[in-house]
Amino acid sequence: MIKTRKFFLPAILLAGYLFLIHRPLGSLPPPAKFFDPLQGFLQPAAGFNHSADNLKLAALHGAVKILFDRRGVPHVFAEHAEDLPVAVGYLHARERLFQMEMISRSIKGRLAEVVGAAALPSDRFFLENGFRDAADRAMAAADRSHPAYQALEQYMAGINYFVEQLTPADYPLEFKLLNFAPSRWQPQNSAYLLKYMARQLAWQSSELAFDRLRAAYPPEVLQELFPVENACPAPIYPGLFRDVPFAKRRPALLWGNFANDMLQHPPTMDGDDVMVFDDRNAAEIPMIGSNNWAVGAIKSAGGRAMLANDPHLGHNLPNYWYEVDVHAPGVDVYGMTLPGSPDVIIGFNKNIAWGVTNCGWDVLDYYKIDIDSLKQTAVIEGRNEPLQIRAEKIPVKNQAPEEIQIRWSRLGPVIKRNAVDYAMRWTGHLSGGEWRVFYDLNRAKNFSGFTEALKNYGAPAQNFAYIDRQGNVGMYSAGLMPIKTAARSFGAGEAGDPAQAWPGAPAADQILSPPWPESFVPFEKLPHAFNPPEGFVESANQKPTPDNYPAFYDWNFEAPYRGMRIHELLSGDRKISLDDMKAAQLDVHSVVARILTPVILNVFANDGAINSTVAMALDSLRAWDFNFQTNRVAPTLYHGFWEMFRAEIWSRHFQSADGKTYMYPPRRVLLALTQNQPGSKWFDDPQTIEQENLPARVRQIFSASLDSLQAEFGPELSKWNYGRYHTLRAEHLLRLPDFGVGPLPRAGEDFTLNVAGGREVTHGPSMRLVVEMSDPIRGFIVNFGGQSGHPGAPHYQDQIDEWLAGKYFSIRFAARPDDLSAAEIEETIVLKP
Amino acid sequence: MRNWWQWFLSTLLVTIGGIIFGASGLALAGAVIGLILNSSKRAFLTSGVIAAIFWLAVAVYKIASGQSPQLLALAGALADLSGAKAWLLVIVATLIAFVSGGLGGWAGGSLRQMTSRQRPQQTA
Repeated sequence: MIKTRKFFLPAILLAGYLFLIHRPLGSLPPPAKFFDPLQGFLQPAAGFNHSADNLKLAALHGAVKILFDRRGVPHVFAEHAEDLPVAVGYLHARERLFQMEMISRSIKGRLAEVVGAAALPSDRFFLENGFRDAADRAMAAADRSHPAYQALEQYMAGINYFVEQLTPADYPLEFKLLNFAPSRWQPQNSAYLLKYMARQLAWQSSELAFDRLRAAYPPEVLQELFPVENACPAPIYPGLFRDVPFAKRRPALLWGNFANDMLQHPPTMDGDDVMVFDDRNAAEIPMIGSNNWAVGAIKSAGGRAMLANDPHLGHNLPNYWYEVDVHAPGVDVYGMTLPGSPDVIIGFNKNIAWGVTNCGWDVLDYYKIDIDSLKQTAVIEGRNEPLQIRAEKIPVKNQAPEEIQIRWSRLGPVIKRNAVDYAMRWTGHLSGGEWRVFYDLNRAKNFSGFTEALKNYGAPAQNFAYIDRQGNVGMYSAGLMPIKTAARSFGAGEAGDPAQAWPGAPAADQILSPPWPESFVPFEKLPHAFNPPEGFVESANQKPTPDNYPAFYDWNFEAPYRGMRIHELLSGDRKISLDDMKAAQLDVHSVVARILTPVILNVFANDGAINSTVAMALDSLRAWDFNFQTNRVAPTLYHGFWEMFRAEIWSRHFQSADGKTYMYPPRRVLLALTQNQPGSKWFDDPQTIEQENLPARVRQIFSASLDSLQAEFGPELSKWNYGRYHTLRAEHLLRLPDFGVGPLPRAGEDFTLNVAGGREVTHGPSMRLVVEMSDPIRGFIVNFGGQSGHPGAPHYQDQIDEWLAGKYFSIRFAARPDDLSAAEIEETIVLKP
Repeated sequence: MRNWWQWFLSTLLVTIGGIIFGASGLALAGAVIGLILNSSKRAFLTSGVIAAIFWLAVAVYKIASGQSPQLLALAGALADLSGAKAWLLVIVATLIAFVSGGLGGWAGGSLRQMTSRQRPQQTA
């Protein structure tokens, strides 16, 4: 009996121990797996280190050779064009599997399944707001015989081949930390990615925030501070209505009788800093945007068309972009792909180059609706209409699943905010052809092919810049633009009346294909230009058109200052070189600082009684050229003052009783008041007895900002370099601090072309591309964060030093494998059927 | 252990068990070693030490050969262990291996002792 007990004691201890070390410890992975040096955290993921390999893929039709250069950029050479998506899928999976998994899980509402209850709000948001339903509908409506759809299936085969080869030891580190296995890829996952990007770029609305404002302020106050007007001084298409003869070229604008077709509406306003969904503190919202411009042959120093693009996105690690150079019979494309989609989104082929910026016309509206107590029907336009209701169980890691009800009305998904029921209408729910747009764009040969490809583009609306081998230049603002019967900006529609909702628009559960229904601006009438008289086109997220554009579209546009700066740099008789294009992307000169710094200086001009710190600060500002460089002190003084000035002025007037800050007026309003109305009542501090004006507040806040800087950086003003004050931080997808970078000194500010909004910069140029359609094509590129998604890998956190220093890498658009020398190649993979 | 082949066999078992089944494999190998050695105490120490050395050697090789030093640093940072302190994670891994192998050896040795001493009683 004793001997038996002597066996069972260690046996039970062993069983208990093995049970414990194979179970997750709270949010931590099972120790037995994580600490195993052959499978756990010390085992690099597949693709972490590049090594030569030969692989067999049944989905292939012929051999594919992949040469990785020293930046980890794959140069792909396929014997058959239909094999390119397989190779790109394989590469995306190898380098960005976790990123792809997270994005598709976000839209599917399946993050909580692997992350836990902390991700439930995200899952609820994406499901209740109809992202997954819309993406699934888009794929269900897809033409499966179209080669672009077949490319999606080939792409899926490449991803799944990689996933199937993985053992748990090969999983990327994040899968090991979260203790789950990668999912198999489906074609609709690519649609999820596109909806995710639409969410990033076209999910802006201020209607609910305005509802809060309207409840608290009289209309005249809001009319003054949120004016419904927008005389944009530098729209994307300044010559929209000009009849400019342009010999040997097509007209600058293809217009027709569009004006007669449209209802006339009030002009719009820009909402440069009001990209809020409901009642977030406007002060927290970073300034982001993107730039692209294209210079035609007639204005190019080299006689060839040139294009520059730097899309501004969140500084994530890994970055959104994965750079590729792909070649097959009939296809030669270089540029940036989004992991999750097989085609190049920004780049060039042998004939054309294109780049994108976000186009912020309002495509998201809310309507107040009445829902019955059982939540089965809604009253819309006086009629009781049934809701489509679907129950969804959200799996949650380590706890029971949560069941939610997803409700769709005829207008769109139904949500509740602040005890009010709303139906939303969003173009992202209706669009579904984006999956084929970039396939066609990658193969376009001229402006006609370019525009033909864009016809299927619905959301998020983008300004597509264009150049070609023939020296032509163009811009097309593509995407669904709803025609509205009333202004939905503040003071007009707001969230409220479904009767004003995009008249004639189809029910929200439809997927549109061109030609667009009559409730949308026809593709041919969307703003666009081809060989304008200026010789160049540009966009920087500002309002596209002058105010006489016949369709009403409001108002989520960036302030026009970056656009104005591009015009400053490109206009005139001077010819533009590739170096000029790069210099413009790196430009840190602020048009706004040039306007506002004299305001500060003038206030103190006749002030005798200033202390030495103020005097030194003013001297520094006087000598400043308005460039936001990291080694300068003046930008710190300026930025520190204006950030505090804006917060001080508006927080005195827009603080609610519950401590929340209301949405602040657009920056341009404060700029206009500062320039033109120094006696405005908004400069008065209601918390004091005295009546303050602009000079008084500038004196007071400038001194306070210097005190604040002194407390942070010490008494020596010469050490208040902008690089110490203004820093960049980039975070990993899981927000694990040591997987990110920063703080790093960062030049630029909200309104510089090299944009770096806020004080702790989390957004900015996600990559920079400059390309000239010479023979051979010349190009320069830098990709923030580099190619790899594997923390710790050689190409993770890559190219950041070069990006910060304003350096570029020469693009190797290799026509054949032999074009790359052995010294340029880091690794070779051959995929065979 | 009296014979070199027992050492060799134990090392081989731990290596195979560790490579194929991880910590469970180390325990399984330890149990077999215990059955061979017919001593629970010796089996605990022998299989625990060999398992610990095996995991430690693999970890050191991976880090020293340049495959994984970044991963050690990252995992260390996750546990708030900077610089050389990150090696504490390797020590934790070694401890897990030691206990896995050791408990396996103890259980195997005890089983062998139980069966070998019960059998003569049954035949008597």
